[in-house]
Amino acid sequence: MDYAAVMRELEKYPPRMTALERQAAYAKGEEVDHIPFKLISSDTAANLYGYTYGECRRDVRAQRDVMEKLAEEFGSGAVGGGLGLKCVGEALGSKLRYPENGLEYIEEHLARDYAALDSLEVPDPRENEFLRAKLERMRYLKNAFPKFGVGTTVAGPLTTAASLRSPDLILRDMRRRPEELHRLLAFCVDTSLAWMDAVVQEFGPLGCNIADPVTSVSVVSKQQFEEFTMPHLRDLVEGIKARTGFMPSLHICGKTKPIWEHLVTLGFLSFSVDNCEDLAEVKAKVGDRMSISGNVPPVDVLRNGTIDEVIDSVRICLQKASDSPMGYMLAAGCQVPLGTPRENLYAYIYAARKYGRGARRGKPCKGLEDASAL
Amino acid sequence: MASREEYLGQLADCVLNMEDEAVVPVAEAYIKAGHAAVEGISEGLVNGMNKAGQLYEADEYFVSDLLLCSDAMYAGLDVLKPHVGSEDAAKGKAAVVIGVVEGDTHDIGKNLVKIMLESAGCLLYDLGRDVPAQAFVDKVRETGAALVCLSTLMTTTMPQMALVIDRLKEENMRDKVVVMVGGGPLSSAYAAKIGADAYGRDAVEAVKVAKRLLAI
Repeated sequence: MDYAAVMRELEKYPPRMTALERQAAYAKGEEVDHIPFKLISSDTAANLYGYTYGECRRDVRAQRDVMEKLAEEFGSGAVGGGLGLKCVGEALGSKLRYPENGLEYIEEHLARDYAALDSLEVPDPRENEFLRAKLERMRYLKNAFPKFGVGTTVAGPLTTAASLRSPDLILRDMRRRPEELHRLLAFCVDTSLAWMDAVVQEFGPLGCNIADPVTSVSVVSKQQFEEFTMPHLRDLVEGIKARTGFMPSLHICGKTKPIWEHLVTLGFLSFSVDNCEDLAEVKAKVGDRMSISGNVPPVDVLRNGTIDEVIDSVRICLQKASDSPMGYMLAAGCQVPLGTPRENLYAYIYAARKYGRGARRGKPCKGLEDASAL
Repeated sequence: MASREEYLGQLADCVLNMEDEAVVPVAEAYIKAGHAAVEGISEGLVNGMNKAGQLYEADEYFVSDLLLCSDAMYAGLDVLKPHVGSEDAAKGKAAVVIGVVEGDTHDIGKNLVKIMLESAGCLLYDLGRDVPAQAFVDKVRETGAALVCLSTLMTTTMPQMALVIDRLKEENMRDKVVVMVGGGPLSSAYAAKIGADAYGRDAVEAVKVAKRLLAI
């Protein structure tokens, strides 16, 4: 299909619910017009509306404009803000570089030795200059979009630790200096919970997503996950629950299969799984205990693929996972990259509405019958 | 005194068991006993690193283990290398240029590939991280490298790999060097799309691919 055909076909499948209505009804086990899906977050949507990533990073008004246009074009939006993967390091003194049209990255970690790390104090987000600016940004956007829901993010303990100390040293610490690493991880949890205190005070109880790429089994072993991530991630989860009343959601990049059961044990109700894992297998192993989301390949398909590849990929995800017992949300396997073309986003929506038509938790989407009729 | 074979076994075991301190006196004793440094490297240290690679492939060793094994290997190399004649050091080795492309500093994967390629007998020129495209091209020209390895973990810096390939073409060097790419968001499809010769899924596979392409 070409772009014009996608746009024409899309008109045959108009949505009959708002995103919020759809999600609420689906969660109750009711049939909804089409599968709930996540599209693109406003920060990586900058290019769609003629901004660079840097312009949105520097100027909240640019970010606001992107959010406004994103809501106008795709009909949904939320105010989000939080501790991204590198924020704690950034707040405490790791040196970052900020490419004009790329994600920021750490040039120099705060400390190579634990003496420096041990002397750190948990920053108060209302006082720390960097974190305060993040809070103010969220406040501005909430005022600009009073009807939008507000959500926040924090990074998992190991990922936060990797913003302060270089990850290759952390991996060595797992064998050489486990006690010091545990201390650092506990500090990272405290820092994330201090952020949660501040946002809950400001915005009231809100949903939280945890992103923890460094704890992927592509990086650490299952045993290392058990030893270093489990206890601290549990503290983080319990702390978030105590502050917000909600169980946070979770995304881990890369391989995760050996730790799926652990995620259930930790109490996660939903898990967003990377495209390197097979959705059918996730469903078979833990779909009866967690809702799952994913996993259209973000780079090969959404960013660099053709319209037909996007449509196929969405259909395959739905075939594999839309009947997952605890529910399924269509999403990319990881963050949708900067520079993802608009036509692929529309192809994704088209496929979600067509093949995801008549979605109900635990049942295959009715729209998939169209696919089998092909 | 230990025999030559016993020393070589100990050197390999030190690497395999991640003993970056114990390896030093073993390497010193090996040299003192009059054995050849070159073989201490190839049949001792590198042998241990290759065994570690096999355990990694079998999911018995993990990234942290490979890093610690490599620490032990480099600690042993620091002792043995000064005893290797400069001719021996480079003799018959395929030169490889490696680095993380500009805009990215994630270098664990690149370092693992570097270690495994060294263990496979290649002569590595490591440009580090956040490396501009032109620096790769210049280094390939300067060293006559047969292989250039480009790594990135971020989607936003993937186009830098295509830029390196374009520069190689512009300077009429593309057909003189094999280009291998790797990193989290990459795939063989992307490698093909930008005209790279190969994609290495992980450090162990990258070495297999390199060996095949370079016929070593």
